[in-house]
Amino acid sequence: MSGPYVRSGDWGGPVDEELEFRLERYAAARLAPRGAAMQSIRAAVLTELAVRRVAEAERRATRLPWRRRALGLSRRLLAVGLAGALTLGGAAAVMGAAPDSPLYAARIWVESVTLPADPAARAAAHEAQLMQRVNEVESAISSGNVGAIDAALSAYDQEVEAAVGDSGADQTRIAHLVDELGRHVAVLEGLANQVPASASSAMERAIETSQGAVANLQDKTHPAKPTHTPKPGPSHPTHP
Amino acid sequence: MDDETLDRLVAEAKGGSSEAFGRIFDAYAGQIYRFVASRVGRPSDAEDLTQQIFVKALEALPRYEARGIPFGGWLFRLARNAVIDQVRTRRDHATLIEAATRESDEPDPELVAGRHEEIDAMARALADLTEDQREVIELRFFAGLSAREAAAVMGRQEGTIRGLQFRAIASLRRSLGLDESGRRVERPMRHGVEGGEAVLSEAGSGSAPAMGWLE
Repeated sequence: MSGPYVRSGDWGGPVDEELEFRLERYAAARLAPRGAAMQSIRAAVLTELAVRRVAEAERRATRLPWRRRALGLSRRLLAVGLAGALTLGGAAAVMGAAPDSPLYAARIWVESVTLPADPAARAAAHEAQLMQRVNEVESAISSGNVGAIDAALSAYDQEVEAAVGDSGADQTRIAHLVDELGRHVAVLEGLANQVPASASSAMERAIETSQGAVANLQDKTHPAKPTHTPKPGPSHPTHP
Repeated sequence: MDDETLDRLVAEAKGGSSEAFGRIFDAYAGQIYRFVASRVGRPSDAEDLTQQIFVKALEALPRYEARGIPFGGWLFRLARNAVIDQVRTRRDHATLIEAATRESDEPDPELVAGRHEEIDAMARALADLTEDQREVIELRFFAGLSAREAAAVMGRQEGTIRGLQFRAIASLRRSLGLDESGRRVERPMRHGVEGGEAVLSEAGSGSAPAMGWLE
């Protein structure tokens, strides 16, 4: 995020190494951002962008005939939720929404559109979000809130698909994601017997999604070798 | 990032692409932050302002048209205006001296002491510059803008920027006691190791630098 300072040689003259050195030291000591500040700013700015896009979509939707507006109900609810969040406390309200919150779907969406573009950072963000979803599943199970369990498991499924979709061809990143998903499967299987009966199918689906993703990713890492069936050769006359 | 990529990202961001805007943020946020931090001093203020600047950029981007103004110049003009607005509103213009009082994260006390001295000297030298000269240093060195971009930000001619830069460098070298050849009059405290005795006499005599910055 913090690019190199301009080299004094680029200023239009020869390099003044000493002055450049001192300016760099000054900038590094006094002008460098603190810790993860830039990541927080990035997330806040992109959340703002996402919220504006939803609001714009909402404005457009209100100009459509009522039948088409009805079709866009979920999007409108999302927009209304986001707008409400803005009046109540801004993007922070959305980003802090738990699975039992009406803003949870908005949060998941915002998180998906604010993922970093850099492949490595994106993969890390996917893994962090997956871990967050698993933690949310665990908390929801502890509270016994079936709606929250369903919401968290559904969000987990979505995130697994997104992570696999963005996994690219980097073998190291794929292997890391496989390990992570393997751990999630173990955690989810451990939680499965604590899930209320009405949420058990959602839990099974989440486990299957994760296992399926592991299998797909392993196929990418170690593609099955094509089976070699010898072609029938030219028929040779048999000589008795 | 090359101009072609930047133009494409700007076009995509104007069309609402959050990924494109994210990449623009990644390319410029560090520079914007350094520029803002050099003007407002307090890190928390610099962080708030950096965020506000990018939100303003979001709002203004649909109206952005290159028309001879490079994107970096346009973005930093927004940043400059935001800084000026904040200073006007709050009337507590944090100075570079205030920035110099910021605590270092450096754990070694000996290093801290040595570096503080050097960095405080630079802060004083920067504070001694005129407003325009300091802004040129902030834009050209801390933010890494070209002379053309800095000219666009400050609403000046490119030649004026080079002149301000020339005088700013002369002033900095005078204040820091650097001689005309660029050598140090006092051995610096690189990596916190104090050099000690002066090795040259007749520190920075006040003449313009013989570095040929503008040749």
